[in-house]
Amino acid sequence: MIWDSKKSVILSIICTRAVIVFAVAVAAILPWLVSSGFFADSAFRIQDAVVAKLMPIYYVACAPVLAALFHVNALLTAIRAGRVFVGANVRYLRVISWCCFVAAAVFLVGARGSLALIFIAAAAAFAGLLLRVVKNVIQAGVELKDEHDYTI
Amino acid sequence: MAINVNIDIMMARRKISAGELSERIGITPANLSILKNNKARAIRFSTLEALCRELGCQPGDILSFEEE
Repeated sequence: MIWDSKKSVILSIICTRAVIVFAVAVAAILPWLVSSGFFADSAFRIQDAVVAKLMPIYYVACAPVLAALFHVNALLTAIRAGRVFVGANVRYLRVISWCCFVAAAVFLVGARGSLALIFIAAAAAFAGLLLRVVKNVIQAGVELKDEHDYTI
Repeated sequence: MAINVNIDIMMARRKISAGELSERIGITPANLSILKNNKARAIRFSTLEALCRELGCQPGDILSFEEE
């Protein structure tokens, strides 16, 4: 099979949708997993108290994360359709970037001294910052494309 | 925009349709419409040259400057 950019975009869309399904499924069955002792018995041996502390953070963070994932899906769908340097993609990237910052804030507030959560918050904030740069690049691309399209 | 494109005036004087002009100068009717409606950001010298040739006029007859 010859790998090309179209197949790469399709793979990204599949991965994004799989992550959406996984995040929603985990949110749906998380209380049951905790009550059944899944985490305590798993290879990670996470204590129930720790899981109980993380559960509300997961649910609060789920909103911006799912919003970001749906926008990533929309962005990839537009790229697949050949619409790359368009205003809608700039908006998608802006929303995704802000979702990362909101998720970072949720993890930072919920961290309460937990170094792992502070690291996750820092990673989310860094991702948000990088996405802002990508958004600025796409925005400049949109302006260049407009200039080109309207040069007769 | 401060620069106005007055192709429609010249087209009316020369009694030439948009479809015919776009065909003669080698641009699409959609692009000619962008020019006519002052939506264009820039005009290539090659396009201006073709317009002047086909309309039998000078660049100043097609383009005008207006204080904003």
